[in-house]
Amino acid sequence: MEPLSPRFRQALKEVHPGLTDAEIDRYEELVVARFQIDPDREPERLSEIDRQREELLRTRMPRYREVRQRLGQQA
Amino acid sequence: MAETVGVVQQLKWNVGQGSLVAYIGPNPTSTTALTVVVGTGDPADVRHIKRGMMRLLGAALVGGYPVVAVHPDSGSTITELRIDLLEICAIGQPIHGDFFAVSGAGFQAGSTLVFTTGGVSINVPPDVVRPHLLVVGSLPTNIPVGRNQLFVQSAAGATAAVPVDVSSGPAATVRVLHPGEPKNAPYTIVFVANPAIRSEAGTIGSDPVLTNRPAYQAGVVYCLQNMFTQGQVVEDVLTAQGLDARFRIVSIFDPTVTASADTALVQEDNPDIMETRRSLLAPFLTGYHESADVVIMLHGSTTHTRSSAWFTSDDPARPSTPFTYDGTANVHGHFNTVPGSAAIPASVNTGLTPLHEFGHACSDFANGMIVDLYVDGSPGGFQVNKKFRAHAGDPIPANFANYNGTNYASDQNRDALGYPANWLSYHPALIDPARPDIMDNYWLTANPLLCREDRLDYDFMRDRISAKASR
Repeated sequence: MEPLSPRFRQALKEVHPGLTDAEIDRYEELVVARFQIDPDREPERLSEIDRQREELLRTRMPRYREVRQRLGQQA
Repeated sequence: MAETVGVVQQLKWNVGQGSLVAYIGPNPTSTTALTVVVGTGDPADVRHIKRGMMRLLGAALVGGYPVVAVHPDSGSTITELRIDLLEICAIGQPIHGDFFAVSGAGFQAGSTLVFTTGGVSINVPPDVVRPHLLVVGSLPTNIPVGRNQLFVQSAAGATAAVPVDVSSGPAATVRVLHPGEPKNAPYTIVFVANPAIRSEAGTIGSDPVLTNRPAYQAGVVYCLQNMFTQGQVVEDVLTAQGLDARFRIVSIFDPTVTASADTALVQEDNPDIMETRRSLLAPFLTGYHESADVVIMLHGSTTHTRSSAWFTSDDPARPSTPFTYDGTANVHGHFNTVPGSAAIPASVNTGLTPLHEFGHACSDFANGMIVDLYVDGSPGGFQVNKKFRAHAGDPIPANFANYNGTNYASDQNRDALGYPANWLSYHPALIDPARPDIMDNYWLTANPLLCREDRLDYDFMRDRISAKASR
């Protein structure tokens, strides 16, 4: 998984006042974990990680997609 | 005996005498006429050999390759015919706007492809230069169509020229960029222009990359430059000792593929990630008579541009090479049931993302995952390059792991980044302690292209790829 750049992390925090590095780190852990789960062997486990990840996005980083669009490809 | 060396300019078949006259020389107005005569008294094996020489002369005439004809000093009857080894070889036909690759030996940085015809000479600097391979991302359209002579010019001099037939198009659907080792199943990396995308909502749509071949080819070139130590990239995990000379490298760009559930080889993952649909990749490649160890999907999404990779699933029922990791027996599988894969935007033009994702994709779910180092947590499994302390305050062990009888040290400092105080995880020692590991957050350094793998990943990747290449 391509890592997030410091520029992207900073932009995420700017558009989400109160968002902490720890929360971004947790999101990143879930993203990385997702790709360490064999989707053919453990689909339920993968789905659970996705559920947690999307919950974190929805509650703490609802404008994540907007930041991506603004900053472009470099994560 | 004398040797006449040159291009076969003309052939004449003399029916009455059962002979073939070959006019061999540097140009049509300066030739030596030599003959192959099938005599009525020739034994069957001699007739067979002479007919073989005739076929070879015919092929040399069409292909434009120089021949060496041996004949008596004062006679014109060919007694031996050969085509000497060529210094360079065009891999497929040169086509305007398409990839073009040339194989050979001893190519140097600064090498240039030179096309000549009719007094016109066109120099084409390759985008990728390896000692065994030159790759051009898009063949210039100012090279005259038709027969050209091609040679490679470098500071060391010029190679002998080979004839090539330049075409104005269409570009090839399947383009072999390097054939790899001459064996049934060389280690193979396939780049694919993704035909269709499965959206977050589950709908299938065409991938715009299929209408933008130049962008796709530029993406492939960037990946090749990233993976094969080009430009500022210093990591040589795939190139040291010519490892990549063993690789088969193929590109598939098929604009005729229609969007369907079976051709949506990548899917969007909320909010910005693109991932491969790994189970569809091998069946898709089979349609082009290809199979891969690693598939790199290049896509044209502008919304889901964060790259990702899936590890390989080795085939446990087929041959393998054993290894030990901290005393536990494991294997590098020679074949896979599902190839490793990465989804990367075709617009990639910065950073080390292709090499980073390749690091994941070339490793295996069961026999050692090369994982991301920029997060602390882990869902478990056999991770080659990450371990954990019981408590964040515990010292990092001096030795990280024992791989195949060799001890690998730990990275005490996580290069210049430092381990956050609450992290349990730690990593293998770096090759270059001044820069983050390629599998760590390479964006956290001024020039990501200077990052290296850690020592353990480096050896593990090379062993694993070599094991597969040995099959």
